[in-house]
Amino acid sequence: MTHNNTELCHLTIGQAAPLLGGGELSPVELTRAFLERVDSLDSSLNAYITVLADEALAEARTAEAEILRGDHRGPLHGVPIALKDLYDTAGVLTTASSRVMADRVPDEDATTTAKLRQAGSVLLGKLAMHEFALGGPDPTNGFPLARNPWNLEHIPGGSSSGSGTAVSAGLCMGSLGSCTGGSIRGPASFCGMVGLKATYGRVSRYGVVPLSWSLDHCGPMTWTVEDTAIMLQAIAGYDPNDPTTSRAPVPDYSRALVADVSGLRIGVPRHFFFPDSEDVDSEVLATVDAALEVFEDMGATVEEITIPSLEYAGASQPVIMLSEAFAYHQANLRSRPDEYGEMVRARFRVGGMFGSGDYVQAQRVRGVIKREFAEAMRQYDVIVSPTSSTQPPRFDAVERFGVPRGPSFTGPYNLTGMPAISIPCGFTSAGLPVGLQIAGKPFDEPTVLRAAYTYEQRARWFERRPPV
Amino acid sequence: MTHDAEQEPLEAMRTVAERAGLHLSEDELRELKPVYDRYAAEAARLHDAPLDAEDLAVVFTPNAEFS
Repeated sequence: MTHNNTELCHLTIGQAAPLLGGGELSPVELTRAFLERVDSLDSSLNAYITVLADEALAEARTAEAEILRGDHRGPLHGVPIALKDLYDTAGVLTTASSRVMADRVPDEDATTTAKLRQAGSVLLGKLAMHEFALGGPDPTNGFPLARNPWNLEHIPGGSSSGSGTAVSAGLCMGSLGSCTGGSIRGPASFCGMVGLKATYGRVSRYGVVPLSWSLDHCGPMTWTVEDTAIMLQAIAGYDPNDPTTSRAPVPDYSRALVADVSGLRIGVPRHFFFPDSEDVDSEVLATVDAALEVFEDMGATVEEITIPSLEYAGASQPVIMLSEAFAYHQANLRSRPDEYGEMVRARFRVGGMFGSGDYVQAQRVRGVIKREFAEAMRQYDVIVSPTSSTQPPRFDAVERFGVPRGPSFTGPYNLTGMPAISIPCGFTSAGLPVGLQIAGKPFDEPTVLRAAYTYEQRARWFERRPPV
Repeated sequence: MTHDAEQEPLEAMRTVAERAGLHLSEDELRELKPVYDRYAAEAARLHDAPLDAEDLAVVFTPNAEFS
């Protein structure tokens, strides 16, 4: 069977899986198509730091042989993926996009890397990211900056920038991002795709270069909700190497893919996510409001709710994140500061300058925020909002030290640990994607996925691809 | 702002930077000041939050209160 490369690279995992499993599509042909596309497009997109062409083809040949002899491992078998360059990969450069780790080659895989290998996926390479997963494209850190496939003058979001760019541009079928304040959902929103930050403790962080231990989460970034469910299934679960992982059973996420939200109770904290502020883009808010009407039309109830302590989320999250980041980086910040880009160096230094009282207050505030969300979730199944307060900015509009201007709509769920997904919900008049955020109760990824899937199947934004 | 008035907050910054083991030059402190001021203002807000007797002596368990 011969396929056009673009056609192949625009298959979703859900579409490719039965073809691969049934022998109608060769993992080698599929992998070769992606490698050729990376070769022809990535010089302008900068999604990849490392391309593993030979290794990927070898893995694809192995997958093909296994499938042909009837040893099919499941929906990721033979599927070409790529990883943010902070997931450890045995024997493969893992830089966290920093000169500090420019030559770092880990001896073993991250738990998630190993799980994806066990599922039979093919690793195409390692993807660009913002240095040490701190948001902000920094031209001073010595690594190429991934660009937004919808408009190359605009940022793809971050810190999982290369993951957003690669999945959106069809340079891999799926990726893993990491998220401390919005680094999965942000690029998913800006690149017009799906990104899920699973519940804290649902996915192992072992072998993932940390930014902030108590806020870091891992999760899939894909083109569709179905693909996110497939990848989550492969990586979720208890890991003895990560003491924060939960022993709670992992449900079958494919069973959540039912297009039905009748009776779903949606809460919307408009006071925080829809403020009358010049820092928040009105076109984004209008697009999300239209999506909420679609949910109502499909039988969900939408009600305004109040979470008073959200007012302090934007203070609590960065104090915790930067304090913990400083603790991890302090030795290098003292001995080799010039190897950090200026954005990260400045913000990590500030992390060391907070007082202990600041950190304790930030954690106490976090406790209140968590409790208020818990109270709200007794009456609602999910909370819906815009993913980002802005459209994807142009590179030249990013502030020098990368400190965001508008409020963070994603950070609150890193504080609470709740699962939260971003899915496309439309486009601005400039043709840039807008993301819708759906958050749920801890470990209730199935309800989050069901809500996201139902909207996705109605709105069908996944049918629109970027002009690359 | 006079030179002395400019110098005073830089000295305060130098003190907290030194406490963190960061030995920053005057130029580095000056460059860092806008970022520091921005985050310091956020940190200050945390001390005004109505926390009552919010207790920190718990392990972070996101699911504990949702069951």
